Amino acid sequence: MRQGQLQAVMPPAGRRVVMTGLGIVCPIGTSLEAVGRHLQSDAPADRAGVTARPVDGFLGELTAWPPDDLQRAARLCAPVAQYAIVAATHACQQAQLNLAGLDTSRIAVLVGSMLGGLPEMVRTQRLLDQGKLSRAGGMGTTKMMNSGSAVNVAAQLRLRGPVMSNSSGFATGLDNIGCGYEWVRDGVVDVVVCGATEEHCAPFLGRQFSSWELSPIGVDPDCEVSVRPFDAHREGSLLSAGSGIVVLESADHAQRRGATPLAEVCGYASGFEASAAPDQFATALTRTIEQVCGQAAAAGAGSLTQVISGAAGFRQADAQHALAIRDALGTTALVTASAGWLGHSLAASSAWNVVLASLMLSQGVLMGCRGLQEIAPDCQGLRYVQDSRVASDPALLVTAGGLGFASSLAICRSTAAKNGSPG
Amino acid sequence: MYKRVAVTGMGIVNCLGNSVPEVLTALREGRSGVEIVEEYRALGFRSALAGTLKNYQPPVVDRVYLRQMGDNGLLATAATFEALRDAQLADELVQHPRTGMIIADSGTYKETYQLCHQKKDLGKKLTGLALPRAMASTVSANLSVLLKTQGQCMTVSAACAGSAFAIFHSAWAIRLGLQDRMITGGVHWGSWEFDCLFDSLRVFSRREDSPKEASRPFDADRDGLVPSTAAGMVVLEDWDLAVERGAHIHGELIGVATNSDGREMTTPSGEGSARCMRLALEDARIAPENIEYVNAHATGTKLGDEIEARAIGEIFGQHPYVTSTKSGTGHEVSAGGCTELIYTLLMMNHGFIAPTLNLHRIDEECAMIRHVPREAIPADFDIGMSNSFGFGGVNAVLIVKRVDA
Repeated sequence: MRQGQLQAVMPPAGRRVVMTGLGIVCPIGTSLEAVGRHLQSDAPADRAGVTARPVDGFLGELTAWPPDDLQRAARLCAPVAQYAIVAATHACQQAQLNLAGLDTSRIAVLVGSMLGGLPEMVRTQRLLDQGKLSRAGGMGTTKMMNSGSAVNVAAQLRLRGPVMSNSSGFATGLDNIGCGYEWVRDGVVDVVVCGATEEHCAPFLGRQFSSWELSPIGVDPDCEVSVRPFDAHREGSLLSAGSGIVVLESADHAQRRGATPLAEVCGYASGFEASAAPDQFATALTRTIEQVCGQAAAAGAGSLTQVISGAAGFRQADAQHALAIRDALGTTALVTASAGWLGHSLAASSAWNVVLASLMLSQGVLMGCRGLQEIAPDCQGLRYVQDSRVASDPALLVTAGGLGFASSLAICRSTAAKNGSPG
Repeated sequence: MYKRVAVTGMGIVNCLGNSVPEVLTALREGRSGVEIVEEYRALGFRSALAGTLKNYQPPVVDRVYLRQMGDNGLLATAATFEALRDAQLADELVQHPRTGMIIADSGTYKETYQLCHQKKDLGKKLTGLALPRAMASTVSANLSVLLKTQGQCMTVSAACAGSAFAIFHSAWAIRLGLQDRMITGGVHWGSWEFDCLFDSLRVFSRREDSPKEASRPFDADRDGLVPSTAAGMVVLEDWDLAVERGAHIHGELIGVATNSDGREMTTPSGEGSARCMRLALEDARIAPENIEYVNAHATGTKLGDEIEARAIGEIFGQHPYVTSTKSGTGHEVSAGGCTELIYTLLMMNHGFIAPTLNLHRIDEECAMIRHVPREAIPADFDIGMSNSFGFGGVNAVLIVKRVDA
């Protein structure tokens, strides 16, 4: 089924969906290659980031930004959109999306954020105070609006399919990718450029995290290892910035154009836990993991035992993550998290995790859960990847949860990729 | 074969009224809800015009929930409560894993401003509840917590086409059997924090001497749009399940389409919106001549109205009636896609066409379509279409059909 062909017959299982491009901008690198290199290097134990500059005690602003090769039109966008444009451009380059040969009206863009162009508000307010609001100009609105990143990616890449920005708290990245997966699987479009992006908002939100007791006490501004997912001494998370974008397309579409599948998406589910307490989401997350396990099994991906979790060192939320994984997968699940390396980038973190999951599957290695030294009592009952190790299974589950939202997505090594032939 | 989608509940709060019956009366009578906003005057806006709420009483919500909600969340709650009452959905169906919620929000500009300004400029401590009020997903998260829905939950953003995108998204969730019912729509809370940017773009009408005549889409003397506060929500259901539970069905959502221009941020291409209308027709499996009414996106800007009129004329000729209800409501931004779907359903089910108010002299560049100027006319139609377009070149088109048609 495609837009406009409602009656076309499509089995409920839909089309196979493969990932053909990855893009990432994050504190340890502004390209996939840089991130991969960093994860494989012997990074100093107290210094994960090489490109992030700690600000006000938080990871945030990316150094050397914008990059020299950023196009002029992109420089006019807010940083939140710039991150997405760069990550999307890298992802499309890796996917070798040659637009000249494609129907661009069948390529969608789904890029979400949680706070978007927050700093633009400060600039606008200053202009207003100075009576110079007209200087905000035509781009003022598009810098601040929540769909700004998505529409800027579409405009920069000349993509003409549906463009929107889904937002669902810390699950935003996963839900945009999950939504893209469903649209490709069910034939709404052929290709989706999807993920999430988030701007440096530590000077505003960092203090709020502190007031929630969600940030580490006495953070050493030069020491990012303060983020300790699942650790007994975890004290909260550090905010960071960046974007994670993937290109999804149907396996047939990838094969027709000779693209190499990097991984295959084999399940996705999202849910919500209707509790007034923002850190309660375990029941909903358990439900989504169980749904995804069922979908992955039906897709022939086998059982899911390896998890890259959205745990970010928060006191209550990490325990909710552990509880949900334990309830859904049992005590043999092998769990890691990226927040010890990257901090917490609100919407973008779960998109980063999808990119990293694909990278890990392709390299056959599970990255260690950086910062985890002593497993917390409330996170016991799972196996944690404390040092990088060989990935034993060909599939990985990515989970995200927080502020009531919960989502899970499974990816597996593409059979085509395994066989060494595209498509 | 995909599942059919029924509209079983409608709720609305806007400058024309605080409920669907009040809005229906205003549409029939051709009333405008536009006024002068003194705050905007004091702030030195080029134009102080806006569609404002009248006698709006926020719904009673427990403080536990209320303190996490911004004004936009509370306004969406008011419209949602009405839509759920209208749909007569039992609590167990609302609080169900197969009931989802996708809502569009123009943005949390006011809350975000407070977050920035309090901390950075006033040196005030932020409360621990600023984030749930300011995050992009605040509206759907708060409503989901309040109503205890358990299915899909997200806030979508697609500029001025936001709620039409939310409905598109929701319709597909039902069509594909991912969810049984969706509570969907959009909200826009007008505030200086948002409107100041549009004001700086110089797209607002400056007809402050006659506010009710300021919004005049397709008119030769139009001089811009008027922003407006609104929330519109609908309940969409799997058709079979709606019939099974004996729900009153307002109409069937038979065609949905979204796309983008892929060109510029603020100037519509025309090609994208025309392509989107054709996609929606294809999706509904109907011909252009089956469309009897078009609720145009037309906001009253010089370029936008011309481009849309040309696209409608090119596809439909002079066959369907075309009006812009924004002439009375102003531009409801992210809420507009849903509110205008509700207006279309109201007209369809009550046998009239709400006019384009203030259309005294049709612009020659917009003359190729069948206008209904100034006064409502009786009309019996079965299929109507609603257009929504937005910044970034995003386009969405929804087509509804009368139940007994």
